[in-house]
Amino acid sequence: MRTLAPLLGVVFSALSMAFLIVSIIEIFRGNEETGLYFLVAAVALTCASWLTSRSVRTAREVPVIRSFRVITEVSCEACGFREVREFREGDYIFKEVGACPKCGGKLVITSIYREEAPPTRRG
Amino acid sequence: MLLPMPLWLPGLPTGDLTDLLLSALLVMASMAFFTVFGQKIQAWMMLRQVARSLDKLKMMRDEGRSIAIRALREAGAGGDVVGRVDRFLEHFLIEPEAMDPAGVVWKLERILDVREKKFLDEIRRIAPEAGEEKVHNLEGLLEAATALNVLYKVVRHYYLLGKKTSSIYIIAQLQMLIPLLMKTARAYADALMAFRKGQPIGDGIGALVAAKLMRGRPYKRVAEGTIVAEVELEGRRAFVVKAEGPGALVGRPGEAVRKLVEELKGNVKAIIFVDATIKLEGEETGEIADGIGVAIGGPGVEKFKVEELLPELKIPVYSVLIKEDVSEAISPMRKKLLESADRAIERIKALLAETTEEGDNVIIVGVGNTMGIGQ
Repeated sequence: MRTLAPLLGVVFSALSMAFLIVSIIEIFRGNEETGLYFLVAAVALTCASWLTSRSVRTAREVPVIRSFRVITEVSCEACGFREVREFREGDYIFKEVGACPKCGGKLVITSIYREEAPPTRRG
Repeated sequence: MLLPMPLWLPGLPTGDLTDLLLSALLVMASMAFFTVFGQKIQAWMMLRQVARSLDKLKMMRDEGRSIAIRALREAGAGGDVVGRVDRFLEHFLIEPEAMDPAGVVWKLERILDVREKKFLDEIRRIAPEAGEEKVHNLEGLLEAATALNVLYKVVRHYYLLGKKTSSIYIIAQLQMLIPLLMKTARAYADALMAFRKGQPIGDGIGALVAAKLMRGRPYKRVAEGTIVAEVELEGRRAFVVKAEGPGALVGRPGEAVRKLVEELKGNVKAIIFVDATIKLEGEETGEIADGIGVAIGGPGVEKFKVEELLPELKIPVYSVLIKEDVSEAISPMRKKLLESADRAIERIKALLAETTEEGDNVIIVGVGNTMGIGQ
């Protein structure tokens, strides 16, 4: 249902606009009673559209506790070999994490940062 | 009596005096209704908005509590972990009396020292197998969970007070503050996972700058949880200070500067602080600015220690600030912020070139939480 909500919102808004136009036309043509009914329908549809947009907003709200994807960059001080991987507990910047697979030099964690993508719910 | 005026109620073909009176009555009735009940409706709507935020705050508080319990159990805690965490969350600190402000800084320092020691000892008792770095990270985690608990309770207090007294002034103040309070709560909630895993946070950018400057150099402990390394920078003899990583420590930068100045017998041409600062809306994360003054945040004790030295020794103090949003300060460090460290180093070098000469002694202090940052 939540995936359909944006589409429903657009449909309700479009119908509401159409009913409003019809209502104005009817009032100008002298059919005030009909115009009034269309006006009431337009107001009701606007309310429905607002409620739908609220549900979309709620669905898009950020989770209570966000868990960011954190990246660790490991580099070789000698040859410049670089590896990017997921953060592992115990990682810290300037930690030596073994030998370089290319040249056997020292592999050091050079940066740890969070990915800029939207965070996910806590895992 | 027929009225020639156009009608305001659609559906009525003609208008007469009865219609006019009826309409006037309707308008007056609605005016009376909104005059009497308008404020109550407004208060009700504001209370609903606050209640929604309060629900979210409660969820954050509860999640913070359960993350803290899980983290302690993972660190090997046994026994009544839940009870001890709950006691922790209700912990408070009474600031010293400031009616006679002379000496209040030292009293505050003592109280903060006792608090820190008590927190760390308590964690060591709960999780005796945890290493020293883990203990500091857990302390940070429990501090964030405590802050969420306090925030939730204060907002709940004013919400219930507003509801009980039906005072629109209490409710309106709370409703106006809610966006800012939620932003703070979001920052603490984001900090929970970072502290649990020991990831570098935005506040650590100052410590990262210092770590980059002292990388590969021998260092020694100069104050509690604070290290110093001697580095040659642009021909100057730079003493680079930071908290000892990679645990969640901020160290004692003020104490460290004091001791270094004493050791160098006052022969220091400049002290430069590098720290993160909360940016204003419209500014970019990672923007760098430099200025004058001691950039050490927190309760002010460490800042005071440095400022106290200045009038006598006349050492110029500069600061390089790296801007970040409040929500980025205690959540895992953004790449944009991380990349600003090299630009901050360039700014320090420029400051040194402008204000000192080759061969001068200078002190560079990287201020901030060094969690996830070694040296």
